[in-house]
Amino acid sequence: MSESTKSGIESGSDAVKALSADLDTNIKWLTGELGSEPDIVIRQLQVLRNKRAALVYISDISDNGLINSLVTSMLDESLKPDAGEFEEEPLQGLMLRSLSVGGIRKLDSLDHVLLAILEGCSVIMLDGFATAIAADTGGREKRGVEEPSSQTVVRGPKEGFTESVRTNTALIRAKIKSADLRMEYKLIGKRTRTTVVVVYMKGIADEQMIRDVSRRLDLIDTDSILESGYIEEFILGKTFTPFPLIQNTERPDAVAAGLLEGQFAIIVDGTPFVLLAPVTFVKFFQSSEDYYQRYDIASFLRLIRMSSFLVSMLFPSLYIAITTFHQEMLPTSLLISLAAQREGVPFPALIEAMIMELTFEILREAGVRMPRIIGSAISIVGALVLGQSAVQAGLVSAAMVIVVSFTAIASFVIPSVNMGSAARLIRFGMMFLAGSFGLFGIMAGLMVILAHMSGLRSFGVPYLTPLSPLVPGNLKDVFIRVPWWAMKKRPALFGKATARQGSAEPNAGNQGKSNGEGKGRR
Amino acid sequence: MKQKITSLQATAIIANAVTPSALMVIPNQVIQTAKQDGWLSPMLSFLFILPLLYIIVAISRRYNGKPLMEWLEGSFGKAAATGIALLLGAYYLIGSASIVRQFSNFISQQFMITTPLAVVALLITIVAVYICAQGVEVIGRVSFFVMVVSMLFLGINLFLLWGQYDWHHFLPVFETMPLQQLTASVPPVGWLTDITVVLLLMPYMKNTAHAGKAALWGAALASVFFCLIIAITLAVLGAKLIASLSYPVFTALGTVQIGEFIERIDVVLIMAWIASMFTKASVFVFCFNQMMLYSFRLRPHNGLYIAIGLFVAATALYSWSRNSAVNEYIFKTLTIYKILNNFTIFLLIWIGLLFAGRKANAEEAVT
Repeated sequence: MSESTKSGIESGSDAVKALSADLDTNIKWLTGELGSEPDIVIRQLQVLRNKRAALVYISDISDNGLINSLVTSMLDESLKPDAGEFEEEPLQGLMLRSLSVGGIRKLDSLDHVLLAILEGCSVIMLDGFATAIAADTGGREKRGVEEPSSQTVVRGPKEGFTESVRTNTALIRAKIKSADLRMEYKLIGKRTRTTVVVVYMKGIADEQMIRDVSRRLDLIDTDSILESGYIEEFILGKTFTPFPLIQNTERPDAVAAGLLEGQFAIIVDGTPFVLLAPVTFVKFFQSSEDYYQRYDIASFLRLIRMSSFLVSMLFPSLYIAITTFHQEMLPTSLLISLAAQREGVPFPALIEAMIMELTFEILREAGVRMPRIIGSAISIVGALVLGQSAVQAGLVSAAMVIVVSFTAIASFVIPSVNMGSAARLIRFGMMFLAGSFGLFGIMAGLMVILAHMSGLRSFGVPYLTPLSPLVPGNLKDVFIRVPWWAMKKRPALFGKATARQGSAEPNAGNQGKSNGEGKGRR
Repeated sequence: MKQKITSLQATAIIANAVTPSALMVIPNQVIQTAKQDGWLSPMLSFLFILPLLYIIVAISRRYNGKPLMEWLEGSFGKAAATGIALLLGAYYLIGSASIVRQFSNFISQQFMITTPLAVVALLITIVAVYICAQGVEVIGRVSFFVMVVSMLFLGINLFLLWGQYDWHHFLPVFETMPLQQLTASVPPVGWLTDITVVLLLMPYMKNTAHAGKAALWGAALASVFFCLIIAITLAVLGAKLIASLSYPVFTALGTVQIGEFIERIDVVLIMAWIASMFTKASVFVFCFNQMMLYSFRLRPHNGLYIAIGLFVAATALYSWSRNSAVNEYIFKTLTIYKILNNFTIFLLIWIGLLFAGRKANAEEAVT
């Protein structure tokens, strides 16, 4: 190894190692770093009239068709009559004429070379040059765009995000064809080097908030990011709450709608769940479908969802409180019926409810983990056999089975799984309070929850907005959704309360397209 | 980040600091003296509270944006400011303790007969201290929420009780002698003087110039609320029956029955009142905490909240040996104490500020 090449590698700091002009030195270093696994390909070739070159890539994460075309184009360049034109600057020649791929960039350090190879790029290094070229030939196997499994709708788009960040950004760009749509790319995780993209609408989202989230992402110091849940916990920091402060969605239309209301999205490579923030409590009860259906039915369904949240959180505890402490609230006939059912039950209502709730939680968890083929069989065993047998054996009352079943069904009405989980957690605490202090205990618990929620903020936005603090202008899309034509301004919670519709300006996009053929939809 | 509240939230805090515990005693206190004309007394009380409102506005006009006690220290000196803080601290401690005890007694007598009073009192204090520890912003938001819910429940109550109203219970109108009417308006005045909490909230208000307006609205809302509650109780039960009941408002609510399936709806309506009692306790604990922080030069700390909570709970449990002693204290002593404390201290502060202002102007003229 020559002195110059040796110093070429060693002169760099610990963080950045400069490329050497000696090709063999570079190959040796890369082999040392990557190992000699079968998927690491180092193809040596002669290009541009006897220049030694090496093409390095990882075959499993690269598109072999693109690589073949790349190699062919480089070799063909040598055969061209004017191949000597770039003899002095062969790298320039490769970049300007030879390489038949879209994305190429120059690399100056071995670290960048290594990172580019790990991302799926093919790196071309020439002997005698301390610069390399990375060609974007990435092409791993990926799942196609399918209907989201966790947020299905009757009416609305059926496409969902995938595990590929590029597919996901493309799905958003397909929804919002605006130059204001901004995407900031970041690499997070020392070992996983996961691509994380912050997406927002310039001019709508609060710029200070975007700077803040960018700073929080930059501060993440971890070796791995495998799912958006990692990012969620890292950027929220030490916030102890059962309530979700960031929304996650599989639906591109939900993200597009959020971006247009001033929220920002975080897409993480490797997961179809895109994060959406800032978020308020009421947002978790809004479904994409609300905006595609008529406003009257959408409003009705929203009220059903909110009631279901209350049922999911409070129904068992109300049952416990009323049957244990406040029997006078029940009509006599119902009271006699309940008393008759509970006569043979050996446990107090609290223990009875706890047993049933825990049984249901176990069944639910088992339902998620067990193979799908036996899932239905276990559901029948769990729901029918176990429930009916428990009642017949006198371990629980039939009324309690109805209460727990209805609570379980109500918990699935909430569009957000995270909010449903919060209700599940709170339910147990409320049951304990109801069993100890009756309705007074429930009220005490609710006051603590209300105070806790009032103090929560999602990226600076109070969680209970627009209810408390009251933002009257934003009440059009809380308990009920008013018709689209009445929501002239976008909510002021997340960004600027700019006009969404009804401005005098004609639809610029359509004007340019078809000589004013379609000036807006209405 | 310094917490800030809006004028609307300040109004809600004031309304919540006045009405909930008064609800339990006001109908009894007023109707025993003013009989069927009791519904007029809160209106008269509102007139009596106007001088205090004037003092609040006058003080708030001189306010310079600093924390309240620091501002008073700048005007009167450290010793006088500490004295004011201790006096107000004692007032809010007694206020918190009486709220906790009154609330615990009610829950124990009506719902948790076998549960020890101490357990109920501790739970109330824990919730109040928790809300207080979240800060003034949370108190404001919770108060607003509770105020809206209370108004909604009051509306539902007015509607549900419609069939029970006997308008003859108001007759003959204006029969009460003026002196009796004046005497009957004293207890509501006592409760209404708690609008002075606005001066402690002033440093946290987004617009301090609106402190007087918030106090006015808070007092007006509370007075209307008192009028309505007295009128409903009178219309349902009549003046004679009320005198013999411990909690006439809740007894009146308990008469609601819709068909064969909705009975004892009062328990649900009482839930809204319970929420407002928790809020009221948190407001008083917050004020007590503020005065303690200044008096003993303390810094906000979780341990301090625990200490304050235990102190309030212990004072509530051990200051009165019997439940009847609490009722007697609230009926007689507390009203006088509230009037004396709130009128006197803030009147003296206002006079002091006037003199301090004149002195400063004179010194400026000399220099």
